[in-house]
Amino acid sequence: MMDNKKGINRAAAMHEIENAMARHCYHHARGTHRDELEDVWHSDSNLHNWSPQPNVMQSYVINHEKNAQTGYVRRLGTHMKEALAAHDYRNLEEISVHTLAAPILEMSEENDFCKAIWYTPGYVSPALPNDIYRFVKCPTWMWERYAVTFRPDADGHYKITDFANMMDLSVPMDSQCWTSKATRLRKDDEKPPMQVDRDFFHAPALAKRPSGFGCSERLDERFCAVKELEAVIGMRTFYVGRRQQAEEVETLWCKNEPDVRFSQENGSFSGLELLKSTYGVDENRKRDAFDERLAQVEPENAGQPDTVRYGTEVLNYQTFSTPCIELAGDGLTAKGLWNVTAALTVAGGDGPVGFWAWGKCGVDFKLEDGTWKIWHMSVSTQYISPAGQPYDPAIAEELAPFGIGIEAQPDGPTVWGKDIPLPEPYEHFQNTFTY
Amino acid sequence: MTLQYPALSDQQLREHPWDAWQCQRTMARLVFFREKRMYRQCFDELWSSRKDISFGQNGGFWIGRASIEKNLVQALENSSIPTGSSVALQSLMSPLVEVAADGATAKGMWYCPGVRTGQTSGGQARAMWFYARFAADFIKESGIWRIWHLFCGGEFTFDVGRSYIPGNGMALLPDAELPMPGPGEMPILLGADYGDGYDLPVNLYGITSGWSAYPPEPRPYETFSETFSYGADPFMEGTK
Repeated sequence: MMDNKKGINRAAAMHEIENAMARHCYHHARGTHRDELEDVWHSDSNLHNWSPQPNVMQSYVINHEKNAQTGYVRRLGTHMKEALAAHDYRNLEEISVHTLAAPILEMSEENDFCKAIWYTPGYVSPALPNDIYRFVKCPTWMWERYAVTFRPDADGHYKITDFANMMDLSVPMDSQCWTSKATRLRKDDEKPPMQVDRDFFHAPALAKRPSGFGCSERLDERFCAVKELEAVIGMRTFYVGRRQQAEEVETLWCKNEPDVRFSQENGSFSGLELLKSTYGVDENRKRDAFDERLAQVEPENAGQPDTVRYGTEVLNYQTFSTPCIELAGDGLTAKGLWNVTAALTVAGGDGPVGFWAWGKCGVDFKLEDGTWKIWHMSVSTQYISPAGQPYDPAIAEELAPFGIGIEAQPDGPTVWGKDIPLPEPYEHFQNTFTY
Repeated sequence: MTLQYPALSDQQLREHPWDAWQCQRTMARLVFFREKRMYRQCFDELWSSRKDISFGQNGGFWIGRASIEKNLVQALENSSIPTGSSVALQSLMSPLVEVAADGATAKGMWYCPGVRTGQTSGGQARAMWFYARFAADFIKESGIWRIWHLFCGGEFTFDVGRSYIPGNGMALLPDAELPMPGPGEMPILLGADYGDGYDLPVNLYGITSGWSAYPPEPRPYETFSETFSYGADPFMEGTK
């Protein structure tokens, strides 16, 4: 059990931090960057550290307002003076929507800082002509990752100090794929080919956080338990995206349950050893197959590091959102249902192919040595389509881009589009269903 | 305007994060119920028992239990449109939930990427992106957080696999003619009446110049009378 005051402060801080990050997103979308600085950034600007925008006030606020004002003035012509005085033009530069999903919040032991990661499957759209606004030329999908540090300000409320963002994919809405050479090579663009560092951001120190408390009568502890469960799922996103599923199995999955299991359309894989030998090596297996295929169709890119081969590397960006979590009354287990929004790149016959994939994931969790672990995970794909192409339901039936275990037979049958039920409140695990 | 946080006791600090989480759970269940076409259970479990509940979207509001039950339950249950294998997936991201200092109400906003599949009248499969903002007022009834007012603002929709083209009244890109709204101006009301029909056609999302001002994000507040409503009332002031 956490110290009473520390527990209260911890829960309040994490809630406040999530709200602060969401405020950043809405301010950013609306272009009210100056207000954002006031609302959610630390009052000591010497602590501000935003990679890759080193001078937050200059690059994020002043330059943006200048651009927006330039565009507004151009549009309004002779009515400039009256209109400038009457209208907040800051939303006229762009709509930049970086949503927040798959959160991992790491509060320090003394609650004196928090390091957090989010995945941000969003978009950016220009509201200004291209000669003024040069970031993107048209509405563009933009999926990134955020790593943010929060510290208490003089008023005791948690504010942003450090901010790093890294892009995973960027592609015009919606007629192109990030794997196409037309998108990747950008011959008509002054900028160099996009570089993506999949290893950017260090893994949060998940194992040392206080955990459990699912059955506590203290609401702050129950809230912290929910945040722990969300972080486990966020870490799963993190490991999958970095092709570290062996580490994922070692860190996040139950070791003491003989029926630990991962299920998806092409079957179920039960038991820790089978999980390690199939699920645990899946991303690496796909990467090897991908590289082999790429060496045949694009030999000039084969063997290059990921930072120079954007769009041609294995991508498995799975964001979890819409959490619906139930803590067991006895505090020993938990269940959760999430929506999954994903972008995948696999090796097709003619080279890399990107897909959008949406679905559901139901998870049973169990406490092992005071830490929440994944016990059963069941994934169901409800929508899949090749990026940049119109929807064709026939393709969904033919695809298994995330299939695993070609060397091992699954335990269970293939079930396409299976229903993943909502969790309901329960007392003991034997009173509920298994995912 | 700088955020003004109410002073909270330790008890309130303990309860509010959990209350905010319960509101998130309510919204998640709403999204999942509607996706699973469990309209009756959605309404009975998640909506407040108050008479002044409302559901708003780009074109207007349904106000009152009879109106919402008719349009969000009965109409959908009795729909003759075949659903087959179609899906309507909506995710809740970027949660921002403020619980009132008095603990009686809460306000929340989410950004909601979505995709929907179906068939054209000619039987051709079709999929469309549907991105929206959800904003809700919640009220605590017998310890359960239920929806009091819900607004779903459709941001944009267009066909999967095709270039985005502004249209359908939900444009992302600016039109040739830029309107010049005054500060705080809301779109003109076309009509207002309480009843069980489609009550308030209000053009909120004719986006021609960037992110729409509505709905605004929740801000910390003491009690509901001191904050704004995500219901129809702000649009009805001065017209009654």
